[in-house]
Amino acid sequence: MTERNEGNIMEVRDLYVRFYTYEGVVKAVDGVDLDVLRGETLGIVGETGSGKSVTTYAMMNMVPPPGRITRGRVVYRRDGKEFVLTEMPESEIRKLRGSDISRIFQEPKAALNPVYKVGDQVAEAILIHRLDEMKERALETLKSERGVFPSLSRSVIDRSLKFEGDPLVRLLKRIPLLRRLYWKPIKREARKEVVKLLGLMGIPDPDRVYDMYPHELSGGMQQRIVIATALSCNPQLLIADEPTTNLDVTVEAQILELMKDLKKKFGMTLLYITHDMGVIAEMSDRVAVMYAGNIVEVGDVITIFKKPLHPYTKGLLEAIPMPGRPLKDIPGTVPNLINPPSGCRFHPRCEYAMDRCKREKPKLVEVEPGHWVACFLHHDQAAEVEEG
Amino acid sequence: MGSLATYIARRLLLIIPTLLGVSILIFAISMVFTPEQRAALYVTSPKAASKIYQIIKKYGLDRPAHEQYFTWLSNVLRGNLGYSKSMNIPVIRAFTDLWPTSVEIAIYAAPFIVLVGVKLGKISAIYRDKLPDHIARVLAIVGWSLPTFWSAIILLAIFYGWLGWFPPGRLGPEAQAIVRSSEWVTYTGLYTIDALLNGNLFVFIDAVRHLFLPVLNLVIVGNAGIMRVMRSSMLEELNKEYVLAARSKGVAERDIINKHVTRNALIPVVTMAGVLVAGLMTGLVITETVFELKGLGYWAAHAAEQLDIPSVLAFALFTGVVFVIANLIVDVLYAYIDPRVRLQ
Repeated sequence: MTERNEGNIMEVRDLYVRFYTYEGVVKAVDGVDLDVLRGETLGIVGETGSGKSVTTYAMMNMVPPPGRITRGRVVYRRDGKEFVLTEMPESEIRKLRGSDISRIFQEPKAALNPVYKVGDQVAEAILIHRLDEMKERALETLKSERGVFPSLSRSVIDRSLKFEGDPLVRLLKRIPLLRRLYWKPIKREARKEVVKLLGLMGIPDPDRVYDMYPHELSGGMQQRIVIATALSCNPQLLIADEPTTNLDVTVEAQILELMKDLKKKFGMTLLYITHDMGVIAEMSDRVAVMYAGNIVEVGDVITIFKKPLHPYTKGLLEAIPMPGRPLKDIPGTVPNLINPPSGCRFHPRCEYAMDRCKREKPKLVEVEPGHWVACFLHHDQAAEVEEG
Repeated sequence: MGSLATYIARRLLLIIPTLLGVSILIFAISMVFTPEQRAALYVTSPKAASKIYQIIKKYGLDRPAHEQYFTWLSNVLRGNLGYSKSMNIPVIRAFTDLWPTSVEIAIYAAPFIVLVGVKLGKISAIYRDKLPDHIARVLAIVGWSLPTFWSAIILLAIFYGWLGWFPPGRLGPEAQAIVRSSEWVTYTGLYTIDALLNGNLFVFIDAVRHLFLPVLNLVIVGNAGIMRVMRSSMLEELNKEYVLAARSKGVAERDIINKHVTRNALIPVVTMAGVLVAGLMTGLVITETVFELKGLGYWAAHAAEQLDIPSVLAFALFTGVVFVIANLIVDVLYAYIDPRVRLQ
């Protein structure tokens, strides 16, 4: 999977993530390789606990404790530059989070801090990543204002722009009341930006909503706020972690429509995590199927739906309820990842399981251009492709 | 913030029925005593004691309970709380003489207890299961398990007996002479504040020196509770998804803790701090005894020993009022910190 480097916005290589819990070490992600192509929508599907979310947390190098990346490389590319997230210092990664790579959460209610106004929570990201831009705008606005305070503000902001660590500005920022000279005009600009953004999210009366608290908004509105936060700094890659799972069906449709629309408008790459095959078909260009910490199949959406190769992918597709067809589920349950099955992790639930599956772990191989599968049933096919 | 103002207004109105409830409860307790015992509430001098039956008649102490309640309440409201036989002065005078001692200790100890507890709890949670956490937890456990009188005596032994820095009592002899002189104006009865208002630095320093040990002792003994609540509350909040969300926005770890997590974690701490401060105002018997301070706690304990019913009832009333006010402050702080509380 190395030939497409130029087009890749994100590359995950040989990624291992472990969670060190009291019950034991959870092998949540076990040797994942994944490329995200610039501009695409990549859907990641899998059951709960398959490692979808954890893989994408690793893409921001923020696997929540007690989890840790124990092996592997995560590379993010922008403008011909390479950012190896697994080797960068935290302070540098922080500059990418929220600006280059941002994230939408499954439960908007939980992702918003209950004690702060929603508008301020959106503005927070802007004030971190687009501070200089806001300062410039503040100076522009202040130009037309007369009086002692605006001119004082102007000189302070001007100073801070010219020299980042200006001692006078740093001192001022620590003094209550006086620091408002610095922050007030900047925050005013951030507010304008947020209100504009909220409008773009289809939130009615955004100026009023800015001052509301999360509990005063519906689930759909909360998710729009979370999306606004994620988009506030024009990210290159947006990771959406089951953003509609906890919403009503009608609201889900609205949010999906909004996300498609925004993807076009902002020209970003979207990584969409879900366990809902219907949403995957609706949203994505390519699909990666995960099972128990492994990627078992990758391909474009039509191939995955029409010609699935991995028994697990087939099982997932057959489990979609459809009129006139008996519902078929995959026997067994997701394995315990503290003691995962040997060899192929799917073999205890697989109807085609062979002896080899219990001993060896199948590699992810390309069976036809752009279609990768990790299953011994199709390894011969892969060899043919390579020879031919 | 408009909703915050209406919330406070609503909460203030609620205080009236609460206080009435407190007064009824205390009156009900006093009804356990015989009319003769209750007549003591109105005996304001040793001489008047011989006219006890006239007093019973006069105040209607043999009348039905609800009538008695109203006579009692109107007397209380006029400051007529009876005569304290343990102090040999009217209760109201004993009260006005003694409250500054207790309140002065409480208002200095409370912020330190809360600040130290919150800070330790925070450190403990941030460095969970690492050295700072272990140190903070050991300190808290030690403070929690120390008997107040024991640590007070040890502190006195070291800082007074051995080093001679911080004496017991409220003021040294020289300062006391100044306070008793005619030039001294008493504004509040709290020596530290009065000293500053009188512009007398000597008395101020002397008062602070005398306050230091009792306050320190209360901080050592009292911060453990706050620390433990803060720690567990911080740990709980740190696991919430909004922390991940803030991190994914690029917020620095320090800001996540100070801005996002602390404010949420403080919510349960506020409740605990309210009860603690109210308790400090009214329950300092041991501290006052060891440090030779004559305050409300000392008075209440002596009054109870000598079956000085008027004093005990007055103290109960005071305790009730203090807790009602503390609860009010807690509720307002709650609403300030957590906007969800402001709804109904």
